[in-house]
Amino acid sequence: MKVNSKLVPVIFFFLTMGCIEPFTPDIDDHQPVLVIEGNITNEEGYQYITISRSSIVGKEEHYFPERLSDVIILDDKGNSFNCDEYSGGHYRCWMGQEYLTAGTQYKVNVKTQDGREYESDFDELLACPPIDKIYYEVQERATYDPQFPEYGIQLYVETDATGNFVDNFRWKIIETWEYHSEYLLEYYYDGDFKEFFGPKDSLFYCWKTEPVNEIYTISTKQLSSKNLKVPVRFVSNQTNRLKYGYTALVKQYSLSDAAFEYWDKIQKQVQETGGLYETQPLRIFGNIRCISHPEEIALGFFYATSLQEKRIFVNEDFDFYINDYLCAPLQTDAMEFFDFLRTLTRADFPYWILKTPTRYDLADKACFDCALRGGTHIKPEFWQQ
Amino acid sequence: MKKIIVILVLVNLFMSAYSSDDLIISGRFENTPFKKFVQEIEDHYHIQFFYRKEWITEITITASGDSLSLKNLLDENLSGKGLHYTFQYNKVFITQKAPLVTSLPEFKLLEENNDSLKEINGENGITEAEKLYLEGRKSGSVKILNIGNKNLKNPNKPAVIKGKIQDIETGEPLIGATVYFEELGKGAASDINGHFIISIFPGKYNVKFSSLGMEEVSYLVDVYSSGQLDIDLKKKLIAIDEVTIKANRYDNLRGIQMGLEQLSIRSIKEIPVVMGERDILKVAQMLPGVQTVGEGSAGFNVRGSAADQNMFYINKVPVYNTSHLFGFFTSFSPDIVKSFSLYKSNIPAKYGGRLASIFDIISRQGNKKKFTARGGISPVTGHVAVEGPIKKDKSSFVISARSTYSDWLLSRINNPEIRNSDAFFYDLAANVNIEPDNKNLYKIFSYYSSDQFSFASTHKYKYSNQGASISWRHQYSSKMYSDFAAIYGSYYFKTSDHSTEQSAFTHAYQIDHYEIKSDITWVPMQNHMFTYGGNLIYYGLNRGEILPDGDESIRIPVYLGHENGIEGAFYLSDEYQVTSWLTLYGGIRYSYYGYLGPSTVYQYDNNAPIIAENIIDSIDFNRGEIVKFYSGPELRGALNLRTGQLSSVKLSYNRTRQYLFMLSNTIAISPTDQWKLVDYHIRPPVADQVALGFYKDLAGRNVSISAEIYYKSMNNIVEYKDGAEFLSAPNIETELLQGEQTAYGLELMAKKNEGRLSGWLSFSYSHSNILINGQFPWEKINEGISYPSNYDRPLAVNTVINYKINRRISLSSNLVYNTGRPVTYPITTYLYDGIENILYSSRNQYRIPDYFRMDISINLEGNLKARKVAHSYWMLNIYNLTGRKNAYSVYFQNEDGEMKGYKMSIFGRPIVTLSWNFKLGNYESE
Repeated sequence: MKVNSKLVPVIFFFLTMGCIEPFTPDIDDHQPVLVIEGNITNEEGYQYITISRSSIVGKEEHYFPERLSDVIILDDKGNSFNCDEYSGGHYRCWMGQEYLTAGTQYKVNVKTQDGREYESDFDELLACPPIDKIYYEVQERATYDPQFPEYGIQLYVETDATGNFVDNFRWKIIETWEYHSEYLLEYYYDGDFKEFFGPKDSLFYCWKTEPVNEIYTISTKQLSSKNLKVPVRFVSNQTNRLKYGYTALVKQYSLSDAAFEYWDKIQKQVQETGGLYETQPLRIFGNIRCISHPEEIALGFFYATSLQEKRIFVNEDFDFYINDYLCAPLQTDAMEFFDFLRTLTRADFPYWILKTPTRYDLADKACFDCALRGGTHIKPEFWQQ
Repeated sequence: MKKIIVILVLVNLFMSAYSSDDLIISGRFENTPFKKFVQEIEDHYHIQFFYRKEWITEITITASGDSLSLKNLLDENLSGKGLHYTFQYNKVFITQKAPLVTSLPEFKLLEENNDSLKEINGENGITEAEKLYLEGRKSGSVKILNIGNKNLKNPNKPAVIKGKIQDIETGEPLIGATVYFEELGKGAASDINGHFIISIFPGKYNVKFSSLGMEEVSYLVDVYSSGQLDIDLKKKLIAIDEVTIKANRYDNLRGIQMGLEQLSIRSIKEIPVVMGERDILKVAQMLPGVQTVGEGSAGFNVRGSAADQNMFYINKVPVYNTSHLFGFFTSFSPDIVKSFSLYKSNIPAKYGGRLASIFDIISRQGNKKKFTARGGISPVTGHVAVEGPIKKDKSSFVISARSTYSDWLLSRINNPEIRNSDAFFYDLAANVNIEPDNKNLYKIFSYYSSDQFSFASTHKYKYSNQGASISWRHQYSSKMYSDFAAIYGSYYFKTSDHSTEQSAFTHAYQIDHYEIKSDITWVPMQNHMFTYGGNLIYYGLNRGEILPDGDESIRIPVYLGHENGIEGAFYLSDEYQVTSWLTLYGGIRYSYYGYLGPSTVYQYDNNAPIIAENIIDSIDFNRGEIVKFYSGPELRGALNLRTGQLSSVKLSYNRTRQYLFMLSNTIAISPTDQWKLVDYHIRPPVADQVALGFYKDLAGRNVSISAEIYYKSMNNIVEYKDGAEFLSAPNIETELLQGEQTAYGLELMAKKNEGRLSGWLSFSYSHSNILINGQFPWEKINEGISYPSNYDRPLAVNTVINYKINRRISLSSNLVYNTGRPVTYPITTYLYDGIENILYSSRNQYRIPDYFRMDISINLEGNLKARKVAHSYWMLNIYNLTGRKNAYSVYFQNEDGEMKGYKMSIFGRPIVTLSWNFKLGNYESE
């Protein structure tokens, strides 16, 4: 008798003993808390501050703006700058270059409509050395399926901060990539079968720009050298980012010790994965206090930073396969195609039609217009091809 | 009719040999009526008279003096009236015509090679026919043992009886076996060497000897004076048509100990276990008052105390990390472990050093009579042990080894991090026992366990325990014996972390423990047992260095430093049986500790947080200089009040002090947790516990129930600040705070020991809270508000049931229910820089979902032939039968800017394992 090899794990069980499932805890008595987010950069122009209220965990929506507040930025030299609300909960103040010098400390003061007053601690603006180099390496990573590892590129930032006063850095990455529609739009149906007469490729090319929601920070305090080589974003072949061209703008921020501590805690929270050796979670409070009602808690952090930027372009034909958006045409084999079209309801017109050498099919609009997948048809100014 | 006459004649002859008991009395009697005389004697002496009033109306007694022989008095006064009397167990029976028959001859008189019996035989001159006749009448026989020297007999002078109870087959001492003097309602239990000691007045007693899994035996013991009483017990054979045979365990009614749990590896053989590893410490989790933070995690929380407050001894060797594979298994092979005792309430004065409990694990001592071996395989490990005599009946050895082959398992797990991991562990133990004579016993034990684990090829862990002990027990006289021991124990770990190459590091750590110890037991008089002694420990810790690892690492090395300390204690305790219904225990242990140089101590600004920035000065101490000295008394007291034949109430108070603790910022113990000595800044934790218990035996003592309540208060408990981290600086005081902890609870237990159906049901309700509320805001955790500890699991219900279908097949089942442990949940969420952030609740404000599990196992024993080379058995285990996905942890992680909550289960489906074990010999072989 032949033993089915698949029985081996059945006999010897526990191969996937553990399991992880989504879980939403029951939290009673939710109290929204005021959150202040913002920073001063060393560049002349608007400085942006966002004021919002926190919300209950597990909701889709996270942003609840706090409108009509009086917002002022103050420095330690006695200057103050009034801000205006340019959209819901978003405030900005113009600051001239003469007020943005390394060594100056800044804080924000907010009076909300309900008469409460909030203030941050002072944070010092520290100079930031330039980014020396951004480069990438092709890497392979294991996945849950041992047959199919994940491939991609690991981006590195190199900065030599030797001799600089600043000890702490944060990097933020904004990535842009080109992608394409699956099909060219040629015919459509809006009660009649019609040919599309616009430029054939006007819906075909797209670019998408998104900030990377990962936090990269480092403090050189525990390192013997300030010559940094820091791995940042890993771009995987499980997305379509690397298929037609990719670029990443790396923003490097200098941080004071207090700001680093805050970002480091947030990074730890973001990376916390629980598991066997989970630690007591951090209760993260920033440098915002409610000065009119000291018993009230407030969240967020206001800091000053110097900014350096550098961009990397990736235009390489990689050996590995790259995933892309998959379109599945709606096949209407049960009926003659044009009879089928007549069954469609007017409210959903127009329907876009895919013509293959042998037949017609309906397909999702996102298969013809890549902008429906979140990007834009306008090529960014910095794009190099 | 003829037969009756024969019996009477016989009895007459017989009695002359037996009525030789006497009592020495003092007093003045002048024409005292016999009735009044009897009252007087009964009032002053432990004796009772039985007679008919009409027989003695005319008798008066006249005598005076300090040492009157009651026998003489009775002889003089009764014989003239045609009355006879008989002494029996402090009772005097007065009869007309003939004395009372107090005993029948021995059943198998000729086989018993007992001198005293022969003597009786000879005196009686029973004919063979008469003897056969008598034997035919008598089935269950009582054997008679004489202790001491007849000539030294003095009924008023207590005799000290010492003895040893051992297995008749292997010669191994039986631990916790009981000796019970029925008439006195008094008994003793044997210690780890099988020795017991008891002090009683001379006389005849019915004595029962019993031990778990052994046949109970009864003897009629005639005590003349102090002497030795060694007993061999036979393993209980369970007949196919089962006969219930009562056997006693540690006698919870009579013993002074509260909160003592004992299990032997034999008694847990059938209990279902995860992955087929028979694991005595995992079964301990089924006992009331013992909790863990999660399944598969290392360490125990005993009565609401942290895991570092338990002392684990294996044959006196301290084990600083008792887990294999991070806690899935215990680092003691089932083949070497014999039993363990867990003291969680009143800890005897001879133990100390930890606040919460003592786990005293005893190894097998080796078969003194013949070579034998045992072993087994499960999907995870293979294990084997060999034992036998070195010199028959004088010395024995046992060695055991166990190793895993679990890599093949890991490679099948889908998670890429686990698949790219590998794990390996093994443990070895050896034990030699030498007993050259009755007065000396030498034991040599050594132990080694090792673990290696690499996780996702970025983290590597390696850790090992090693230790050895030499102990010598010597008996000076029948009233005194001593135990001396020299002990070494050590724990080592090495870890490397390559999660980011630029800050990759390695770290190695080691703690060495050297100890000498003496325990002396002295029984100077009846009802008192003194124990006294002391110990001295030298701790040497190398906390290691954080060193950059790999070419790319630019991590700055951090030297965490060496630590040295001495800890010692003296103790004295007395167990005093005041009356047959009241026993008191009082003990004092005085412990002291010195943190030794070389050391550099930082001084911090008194009005600022203890952080590196606030160092204002430092003091250097030279090698051997005492940096800080702590000491204090630890009082231990207990009371046992018998409230009836089958029930008792106990009360105890206990203080313990601890001079080292574990640095752990994780909820479960991890292999990189370092032991740390208390030092200049960190004060030693102290605990006080009061407990009250009620114990009752039911159903012919086959079912015992108990209820205990306790309240514990602990000071100087070490807690860690949020985000505490132990590798960046040697001065740990910057990462922790000290505060108070309280724990209280109710524990109920019902246990059925024997019969087809056996097992226990335990229930506990308890709480454990921590308060860190220093003077300044930075000396508070959770804003200075009390919060539940990580292991506060109020409700716990456990059942363990074993049902023997027949001698070869048995079914077992566990049911476990626990309240989920406390957890800190996110209470509100907000966006910061486009990333969803969460604010957690105050510490441990919420709970993870409750835990429930059911396991079953089926045991199939090999055939029951008596003559066979080896016996084996199969065990099929199903762990977590219902497949409930019990939460081990609930956590939140950021996925592409959004916070998602997850529940992780360790054994989230039924786990089926088949394991096979063997031993040389037959079913009953030990």
